[in-house]
Amino acid sequence: MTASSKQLERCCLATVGATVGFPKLIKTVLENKFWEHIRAHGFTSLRIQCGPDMPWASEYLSSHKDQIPPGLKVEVFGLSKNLMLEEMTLCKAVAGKSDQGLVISHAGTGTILDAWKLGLPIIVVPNTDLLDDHQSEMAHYLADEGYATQSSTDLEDLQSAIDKSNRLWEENKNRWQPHSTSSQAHARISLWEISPKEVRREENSQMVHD
Amino acid sequence: MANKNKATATRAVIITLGGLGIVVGFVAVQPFASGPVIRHLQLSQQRRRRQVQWSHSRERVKTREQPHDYYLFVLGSGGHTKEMLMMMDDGFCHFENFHRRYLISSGDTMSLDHLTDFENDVKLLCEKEGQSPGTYDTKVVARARRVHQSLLTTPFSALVSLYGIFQVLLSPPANNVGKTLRFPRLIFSNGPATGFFVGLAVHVLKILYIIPEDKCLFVYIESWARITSLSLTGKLFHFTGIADAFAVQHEEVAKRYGVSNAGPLVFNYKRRPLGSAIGASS
Repeated sequence: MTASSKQLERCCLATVGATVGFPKLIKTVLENKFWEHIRAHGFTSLRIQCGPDMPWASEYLSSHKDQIPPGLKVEVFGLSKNLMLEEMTLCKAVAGKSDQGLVISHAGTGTILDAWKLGLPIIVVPNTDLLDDHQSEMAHYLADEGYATQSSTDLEDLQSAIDKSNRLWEENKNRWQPHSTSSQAHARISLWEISPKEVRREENSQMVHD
Repeated sequence: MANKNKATATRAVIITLGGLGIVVGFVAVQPFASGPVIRHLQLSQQRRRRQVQWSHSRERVKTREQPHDYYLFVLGSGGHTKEMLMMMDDGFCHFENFHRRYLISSGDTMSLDHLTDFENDVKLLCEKEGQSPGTYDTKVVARARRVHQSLLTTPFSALVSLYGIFQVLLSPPANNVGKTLRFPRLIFSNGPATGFFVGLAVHVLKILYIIPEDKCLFVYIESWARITSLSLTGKLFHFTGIADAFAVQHEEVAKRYGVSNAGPLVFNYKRRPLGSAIGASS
């Protein structure tokens, strides 16, 4: 972090989704060591969407307020009607006002797609306690493709994921650009060009499968 | 004795009449019963002959083949709608004489908000490019089953829902496009169950010769969230084969079921500068 960027606002949004809570992740982002770590990265605001975990999280926060490092604002909230609109836009870089922020999220597709739409870096933390552990699959995929950084709910993991996310962001800036085709041999078809066409039997062998 | 004879005779008459009834019934019903089966097989065979190219070289088609066009989009709920609109919102704006119809479930205000935002964005984009944004309408159908609804009443609400779907399919758009095209040319769904109900309704109406076989071609694109396995709706479409085009968005699930991989179509979404991408309606 350069000296000048420290004066800009930088928002970190942690989100667990609306339906099931994710106490392990919320506990980690409420640790004062985590607060110090993100403050060192120039973050000025940490907003935590807690969903069903809201009652104990707000209680915990109010009893630990004195441990918040100076220059950092920590807030918890239950739900927002439109997470992307109200919260994620706070993480956007605005010239002269704020630096590119960060989203730390459970591996829910809605949040991931919203963060991608806004071009925000994202750390995905799969909630491995869920029934079929389907979030791990999504987290692996995103990490493999370079769309996101993967982490566990462990404090040290999450801290190094933040360091890594900063690096990945610099390296992969282009991957997040619209219509980047990266390593793909073919451009993806546009939905507006999809059109099932009747073909004669002998042409069937030429079907495109990729 | 006479009584016993009488009883036997009556029983014989009943059996004979019953047997005759069954035979006559069978002969009478047979064409109606086998007709739909033959028709079903015929439609399935036709579907297999249709092919879709899911990816292509870099040059993009900028003009449409049809002078008039009409698509139906089944917007599931929450995440499904978000994904569908991201696939649609790729900067394409050649919508001259193009009608988009949206089918949403009653009470799904989130889908309604999002599609309104999308259509507003399309309008702005098309105006900027000097193109026509085309037209759209939204049709609401009753839910097949509400959350926590009793299983006893589910068949009835499912029927009400199906009736609504028939109406959506059979009522042409109230504009110029509707005068030329009675039925949608393509129907898109990415789940969940409502999409399959629409697919089923189309199939039934084609069996009954109400919808011509080259109309209402069904395109099912599995949700981007399904990386290694198909969703229930995806499985239903895959195993019944009633979709005219079927694709998934990840290689792993494509290989597992031997289906086409269209790639992550959700990332076709074209980002716009902060502010303009977010509608004000919600």
